[in-house]
Amino acid sequence: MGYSPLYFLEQTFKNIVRGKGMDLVSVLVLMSCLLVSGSFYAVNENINYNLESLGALNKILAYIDEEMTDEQIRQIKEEVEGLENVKSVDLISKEQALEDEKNRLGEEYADIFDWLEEGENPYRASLEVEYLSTDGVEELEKALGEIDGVESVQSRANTAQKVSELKKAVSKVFLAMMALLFLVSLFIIVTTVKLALHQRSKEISVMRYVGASALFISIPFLLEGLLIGGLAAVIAFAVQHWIYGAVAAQVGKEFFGIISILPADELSNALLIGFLVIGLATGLVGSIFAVIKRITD
Amino acid sequence: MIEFKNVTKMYDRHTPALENVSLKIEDGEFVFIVGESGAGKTTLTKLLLRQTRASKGDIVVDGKRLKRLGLFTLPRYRRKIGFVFQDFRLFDQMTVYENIAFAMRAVGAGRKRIRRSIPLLLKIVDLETKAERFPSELSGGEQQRVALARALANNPKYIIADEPTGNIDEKHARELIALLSKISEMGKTVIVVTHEKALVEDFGKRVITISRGHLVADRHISQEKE
Repeated sequence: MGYSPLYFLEQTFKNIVRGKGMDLVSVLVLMSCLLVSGSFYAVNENINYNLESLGALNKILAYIDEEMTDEQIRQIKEEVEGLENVKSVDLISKEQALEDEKNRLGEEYADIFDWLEEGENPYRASLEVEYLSTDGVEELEKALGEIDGVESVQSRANTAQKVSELKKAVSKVFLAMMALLFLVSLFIIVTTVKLALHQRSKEISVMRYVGASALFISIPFLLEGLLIGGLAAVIAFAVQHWIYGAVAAQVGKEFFGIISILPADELSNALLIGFLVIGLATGLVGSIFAVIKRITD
Repeated sequence: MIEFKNVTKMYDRHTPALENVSLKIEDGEFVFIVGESGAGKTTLTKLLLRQTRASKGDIVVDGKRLKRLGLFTLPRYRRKIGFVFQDFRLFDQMTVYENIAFAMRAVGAGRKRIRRSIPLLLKIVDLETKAERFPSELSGGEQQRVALARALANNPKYIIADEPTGNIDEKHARELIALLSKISEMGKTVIVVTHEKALVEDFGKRVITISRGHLVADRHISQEKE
């Protein structure tokens, strides 16, 4: 058999050249779709990251009175562990609290605590209480507040719930937009490949009459779809990376200390793989839709 | 062998394009299928190529029932058939050599085989010197011979020519039929579909006549002349 990959690539490029820019339009539309999806993913990941870093997910912070000794703190912890609806309790010492904050702010702001005297620490020890169910949070908060030695209780259950509801609503809008954009992308890819099929109808008819297999006839068109999807994915990734970097820098500046932004590198792998999988799958499915009738009729 | 067993083809509910047609064509035969325009000749060709399926009856070629052919077996079946189009269907941007190579490459022929076979094919159709010409540089008769060389390229068992003389002058038409006759003598089964009765009469071959979807005559002209 003399089927050569180079032959198929040559035919695919012929399709693209004869496509009169339709392939470029397909790449741009699919790229836009991927950008919307990627932005949605990045926003979602950052919300989760912030909620986690705020300790707002299923957690209550109970700050301990400064006067308490280590032994008293241990006793308070035991008492808290005995409360209803408590899953776990972690003690965060004042030293650890200071260290955590330094880590959170990063090296750029490492000198922010330089004004502290040696051994001075503005933070208090706290108990990080993870609860089992949101239903009994209010009771748990009250019980914690009543314990001797607990100075204050900070719960972000309400905030977490509101953010979670907002996330759900935003997700619905994004998902609807994504579905619509994917349908449009699919339609444009189908049209592009159909145009290529139409322009090569004479060649296809001769190939079919001489007994070329359905796969042999289809491969250049399937490759065309894959190329559209792959190109859209790579370009979308590059654009997304650049936009994310710019937005992250701006948000970091404007909302310093309020909102934490995930480093771009932490999202890169998932975004690239996701874009490639979605892009290639859309391109392939689109070209299969276009080709299937032509080769089976 | 090709066998039509009570074949009917309906494109709509009311008018059959072919009705209850039965015929046999033995291996190595040369057969003309004649009939007026709209008689059902093209439908018969389409059925043979399995471009369309019979509504009733069976078509069996080399022991294979055509209605059973699927996506993977149909291409293999079609490799047994070399088809010659009335409009030649040559690619203007390709040379004669490339036009024939195209058909060979489509079924997986390697470069060596293509390089070895094409000069032989061009010799059969008497176009050895025109391999690098483009179709637009050839006469109608020459173009049809290129189409015939392409049909022969994958060494098919059957050659089906649909109105092969429709777009060429009488002299070239006679030459083409003579060439097809020579190919038949090489062991190929040749079926020529035509409406040109005068041309058919001179070649002394089997002639199947179709009229309004019915097989109305099946005779051997040379036998009648004797």
